[in-house]
Amino acid sequence: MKESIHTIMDELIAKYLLQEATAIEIAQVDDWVAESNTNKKAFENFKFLWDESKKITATNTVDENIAWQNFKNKLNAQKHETKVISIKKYTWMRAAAAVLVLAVGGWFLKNSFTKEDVGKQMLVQTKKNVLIDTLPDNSVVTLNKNSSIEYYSKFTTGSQRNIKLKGEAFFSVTPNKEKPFIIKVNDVEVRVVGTSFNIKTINGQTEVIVKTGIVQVTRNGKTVLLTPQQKILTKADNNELAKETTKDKLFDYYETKEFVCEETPLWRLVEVLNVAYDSEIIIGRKNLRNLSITTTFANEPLDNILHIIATTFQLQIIKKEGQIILQ
Amino acid sequence: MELNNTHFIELLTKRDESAFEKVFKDNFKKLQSYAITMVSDENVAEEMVQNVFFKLWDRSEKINIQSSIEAYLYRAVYNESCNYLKHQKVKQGFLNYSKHVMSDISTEKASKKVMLTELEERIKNALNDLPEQCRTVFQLSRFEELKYQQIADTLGISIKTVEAQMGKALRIMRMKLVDYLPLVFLFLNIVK
Repeated sequence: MKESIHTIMDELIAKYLLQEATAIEIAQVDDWVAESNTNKKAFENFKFLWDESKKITATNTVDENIAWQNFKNKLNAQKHETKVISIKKYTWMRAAAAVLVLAVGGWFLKNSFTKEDVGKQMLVQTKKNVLIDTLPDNSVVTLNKNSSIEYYSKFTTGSQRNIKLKGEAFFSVTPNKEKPFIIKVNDVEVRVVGTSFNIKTINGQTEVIVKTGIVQVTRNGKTVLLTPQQKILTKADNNELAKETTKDKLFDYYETKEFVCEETPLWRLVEVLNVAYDSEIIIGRKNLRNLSITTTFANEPLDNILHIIATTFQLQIIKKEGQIILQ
Repeated sequence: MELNNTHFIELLTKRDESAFEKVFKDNFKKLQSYAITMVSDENVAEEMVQNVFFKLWDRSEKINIQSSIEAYLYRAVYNESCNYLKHQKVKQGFLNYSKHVMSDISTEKASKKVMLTELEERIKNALNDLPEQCRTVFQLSRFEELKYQQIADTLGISIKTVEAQMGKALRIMRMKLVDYLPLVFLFLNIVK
């Protein structure tokens, strides 16, 4: 190129224009400019561009405090370049609904049918909301808060219906004996043909409770079959898969939109209410923890529920710094 | 409290909101200005910067920041804006085309204005073609008016690199605009 100039000269001119050059460097540039008309023109071009470029300086009126608020709103409503599927908001969960459905290119479910077209990888994620998602096989998943499932959009084409779960979800699986429905959660595999059940993970432990049908749970080579009202809870430090019978009917509250208590201890109800309403209810006295409740709370404001509890057990409700103390 | 980099990155992996808020507020305006000079739209620019912080927060455990947090943020804003521009390219091409048509039918007085706007547009496009580090150094120098030493400190690079990148920035800009510049000089002289 005829206009090409030595790299070092460009750097010197830049320093010259930015007043970063030493006295010697300034003299060097001046000499070089005086040397020829071409040099002079090149220098003028540089200077012109440098001066003109200032004109595109952005003037922004943004207030960083407002921007920060916007950011926090965005975090709460984690919608992020995504395809959003229908959300059913519960009135008792006023928290902003947040869904994240990402179609990602990679593969991470280990499929035995990787060569077939399994479609797009789907990620359905909840933050502060409960979400109902209908899968391609018409099975219905109710995802509790802070949970996610991953599957392929054409997962019915294979010999199995594979899905991956984090957090907690209630599954109502469409029967299909040809294609078992397999959920991978932590180190556990849950295999069903067509039933409904709840899976919850807490600190790497996995809890499975069956509502209808039969569910097969496998972990580290061991397998158990669970029937309704039975549950297992895996433990990190041992390999046992111990079945328990559970009277708890609260576990699927976020799916049924009802809090069904049948001789439910108060601590358990409080635990569930705290998750459902993002509240911090505390039982003020130890001897109140095991008070037993038999009732059903429908979709209603937390204050109503607390009022009924308080009246039933003749307790006081004290609200202090975001906490609600029952005593 | 002045947050140094290692300390901040440590707090970030712990999802410390107040540390994150500080870095957000300290840098938001500057990053948004950067994005505005690239995408020429204040709202889009804010979205670019919001996205960058969103990803930083969302993937804080996985993000690998080797130089400085500022260097990371400027690079991320550059990349985010480049991606946006790529998607807008077809649209932009059409807008530039209609601007040319406009300038043909304008009066001479108006065409000076168009000319200058077009020059700015060309400078902006030339700047957007610069590689990331080069573009970021130019941003800090020209628009934030930092001295070489301050740029080096902010981005965690040597002063020698700053010199080289500035020389490179001016050289590339001139190469891209060299055929256009005589025309501009001519025009300015006529109107004077």
